[in-house]
Amino acid sequence: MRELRKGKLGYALLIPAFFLVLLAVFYPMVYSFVLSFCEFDLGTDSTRFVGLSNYVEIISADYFLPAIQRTIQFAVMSLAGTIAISLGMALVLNENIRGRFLARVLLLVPWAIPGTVNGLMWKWIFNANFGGLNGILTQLHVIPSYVNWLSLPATAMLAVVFANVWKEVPFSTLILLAGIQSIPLELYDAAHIDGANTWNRFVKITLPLLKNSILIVLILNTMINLLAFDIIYVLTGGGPADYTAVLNWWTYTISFRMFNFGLGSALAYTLGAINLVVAIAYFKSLYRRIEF
Amino acid sequence: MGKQAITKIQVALVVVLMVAVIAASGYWLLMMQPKPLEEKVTLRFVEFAAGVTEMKAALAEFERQYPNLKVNFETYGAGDPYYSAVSTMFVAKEEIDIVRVETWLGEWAKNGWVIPLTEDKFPGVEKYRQRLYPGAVDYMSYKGQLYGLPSFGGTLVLCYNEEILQKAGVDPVFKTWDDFTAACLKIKEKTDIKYPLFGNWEKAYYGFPWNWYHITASMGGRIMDENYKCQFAEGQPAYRALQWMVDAVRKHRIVDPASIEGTWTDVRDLFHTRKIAFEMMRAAYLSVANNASVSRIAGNAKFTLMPETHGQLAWTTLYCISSTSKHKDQAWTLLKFLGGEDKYGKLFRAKANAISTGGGIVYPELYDDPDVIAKLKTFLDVKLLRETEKYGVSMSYLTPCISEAWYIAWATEVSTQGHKAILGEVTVRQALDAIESKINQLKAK
Amino acid sequence: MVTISPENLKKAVSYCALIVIVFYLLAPFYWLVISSLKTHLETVTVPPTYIPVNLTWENFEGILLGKITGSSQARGTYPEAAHRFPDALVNSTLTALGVTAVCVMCGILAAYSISRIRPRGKDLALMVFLSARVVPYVTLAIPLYILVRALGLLDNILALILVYSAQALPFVVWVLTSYFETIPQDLEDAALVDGCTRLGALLKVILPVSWPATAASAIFSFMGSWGGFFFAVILTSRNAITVPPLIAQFVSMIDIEFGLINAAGVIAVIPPVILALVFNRFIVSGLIRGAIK
Repeated sequence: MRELRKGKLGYALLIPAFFLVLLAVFYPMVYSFVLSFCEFDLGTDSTRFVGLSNYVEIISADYFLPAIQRTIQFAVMSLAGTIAISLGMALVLNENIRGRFLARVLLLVPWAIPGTVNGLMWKWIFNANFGGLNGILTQLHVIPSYVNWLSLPATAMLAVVFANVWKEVPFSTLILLAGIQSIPLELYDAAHIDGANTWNRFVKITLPLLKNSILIVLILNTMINLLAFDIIYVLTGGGPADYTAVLNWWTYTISFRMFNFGLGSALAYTLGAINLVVAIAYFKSLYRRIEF
Repeated sequence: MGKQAITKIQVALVVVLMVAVIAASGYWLLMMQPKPLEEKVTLRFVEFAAGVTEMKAALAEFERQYPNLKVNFETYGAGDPYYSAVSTMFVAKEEIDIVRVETWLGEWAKNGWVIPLTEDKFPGVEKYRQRLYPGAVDYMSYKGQLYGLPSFGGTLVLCYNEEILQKAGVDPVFKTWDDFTAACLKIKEKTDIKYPLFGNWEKAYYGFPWNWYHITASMGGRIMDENYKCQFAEGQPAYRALQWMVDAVRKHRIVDPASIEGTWTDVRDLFHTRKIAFEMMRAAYLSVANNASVSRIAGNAKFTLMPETHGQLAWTTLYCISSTSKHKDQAWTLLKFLGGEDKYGKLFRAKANAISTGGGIVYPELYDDPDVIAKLKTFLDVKLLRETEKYGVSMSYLTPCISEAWYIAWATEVSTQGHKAILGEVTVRQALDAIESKINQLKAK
Repeated sequence: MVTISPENLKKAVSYCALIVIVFYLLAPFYWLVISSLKTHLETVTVPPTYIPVNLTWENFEGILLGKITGSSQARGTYPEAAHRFPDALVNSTLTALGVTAVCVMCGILAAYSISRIRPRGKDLALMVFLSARVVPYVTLAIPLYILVRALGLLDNILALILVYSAQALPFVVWVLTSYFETIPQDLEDAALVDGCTRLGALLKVILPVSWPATAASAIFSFMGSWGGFFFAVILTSRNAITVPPLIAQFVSMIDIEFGLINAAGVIAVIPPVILALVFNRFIVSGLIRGAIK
């Protein structure tokens, strides 16, 4: 009796959440997936099935390969920066030192700033003529004169990555901090008694037990960064000369500047496929090695 | 234990039911209010979110002049966000009466979203055609038909800082572009100015492309002809213009390389804080440049003719009637008010715009209006301004493809190639070839 | 004589690192704050000042009170959108609260169901969560616009609540499911034996124990919705506009009014920071027993 009731009630409880996600996430995904096989004509507002030609056009487009290169560049640099900084931060914030609370509070600031505000803030900081970065670096004599961070090919990508990492670090730090704090202290004490130094304790205890958290941070950050768009839109608009034009930038341009929704959807799903492959690769290679 | 749990839930349900009943009754009561007799026609007017206070006052005046018409005024940012938002509205077939249009007239006209103004349906339009500057009419037309009436005209003039030029011993008269280059080099040598010119050569379609068109116009040419055939041979103005821009950055170092991320605001900020000697800007901003509370160069900001043929980039901002309007006659009344004559035959908005924006005059007769002259005199040379209007070259003449749906996509490609040339990654020839092949590619579709 | 023991060295290094961290997190935001307190002329002064010489409240007055004074008046650059900043703040707050309420309520029900029906439900929820994140959201804009229009919810914060809730739910369900799975079945069974219904057990037993995870989910939903830009632009215009798209309207072709943008940015940060501060201790602990395991 209870089994039966449990079954019905169980599924009933699922309905609200399931319905919302189906309606506002999966239905649009299916719609735009279908659209990627069509040609959408803005003037006549009509769609016409064209099979794989959108995908072919994407793959053979001259912006495709450079965009992949830029996307990988952006994602890898952001990932490296985020992991390094948030791991370091999580370790420091775990220590029982004064000022820890202040740092934990400040950690909320980049997280709380809306993405577009973050972009505009950094745009102002990197401004070639009046920006704060130029000001402080010149006054400290680190650089001889003002640098146009956002319009030099060499520095534009770095600037975008820096701004992106700054905003992403809190979330990853919190996940890693949670992971560190769930490591039982007895393990450290035992290691200390056995004479292990700080570095050994870090490598042999902390890292392995953090694998799960690190995996989560890796997957989430990689997926988010492969799809990065907001920060690039605000900071460089894909420039200079398409140096920061990642794949998702082209998705926006094709969909909302050229109003070619069919092609834009095709590019979006191509990007999605790449994203999926990466996520699966992570799971396959790292998930198995984690003990529960 | 169990009984208590059930009772709590029951109580909660009752409370929810009561709240629902109260809310429903309240709603019903509100809806049952007698509605006032609606005999007015409401027009939906979609605009940039700029100068809204003024516009609201103007629309209040409109509603006073025409008591049976009401205006529902909506704003959607300016430039790109407006264009995206309103295009989406058209795709969704929403009812709109009047829209503001800038460079996308051709695209919206081609899609049938805005309608041509013909004399039979919109009486009086031919007289307007006669009264306006030909360049403005040109700009507001698609395939020979006039589509709107103007809000104001824009043109870029060559502004300079008199104090810097005097210090360097430079005369503000440039017969050739070589003269201008030489003047910049002299300023570099004799004063503390590192880069005499800074451009708003950013990627957006109103950045790098407009500046390239402007210099091309001054050199006496155009980017392409009516059949979209590019005029990019080596001695032609479009080629020379791009070459000048590239040399100015790379060879002579008279233009800051950061110009490729430069915005309109950056240019003015640099000019007003005496960091540059020249700017190519709308003359209206001289009112800010000469305002001591926000500018360090007050009293020294002047403008002069462009070199060579004195040609200047000119464009118009206009209002059009949407094809989805259900009250086209009333919309024409509002359109006339916004871009032409009000009920009393006065160029109400055009004059107000001229006075508040300091120029942008598209009706030549306004130059004879004493109010307009009195306002403009305070910060610029009115005679010179009237003279420069003669040299305005319409953007639609310089790049006829502005009427195409893919214009902005092409203009972005122009920026990308232009930036590559300035960064030294491609030669001017390669950049122009890429621009030309892009337009051939788009033309073929 | 101070002996530099490994412990002291470690503490010293930690303190240095902490100072660097504080600077890293604070410096850009500090620049934002002081820029919002300067006049326009001072912001374009080179070399820049790190403490405003002429402190002015004109930017904050401009966005909160709609007063057009100082530089934006003289330069004629006041963006009309700034008049609606207080409304946008209200819209953002209502939307975020709505999203939080929906996510927490639906999420709790779903997580309870999954954790008790499917033994490895946590993994399923994770899969759903990740699969929803695989595709760029840019491409979902048009179908969602059409859907929202069909529902008659254009320019209505209900549409935003719908969309952002749906996007946050998979993550919320994942965190809550993981947490619920660590709660031993015996606790519930005891309540059920006493005559409680399933829902009663949920309310009386599970929920009180899972405050951390619930609070963490609430914060994450709130933050996610607060910063939402793209869908807010597509689905709202005059009435339901939230803070991020409104600030974007301060940037126009002719004028980028940084003074007002900076002031708006400063204010936009305050509500979520206050909220997160209040629930600070739950965030990490909510993740610990749950998703991280």
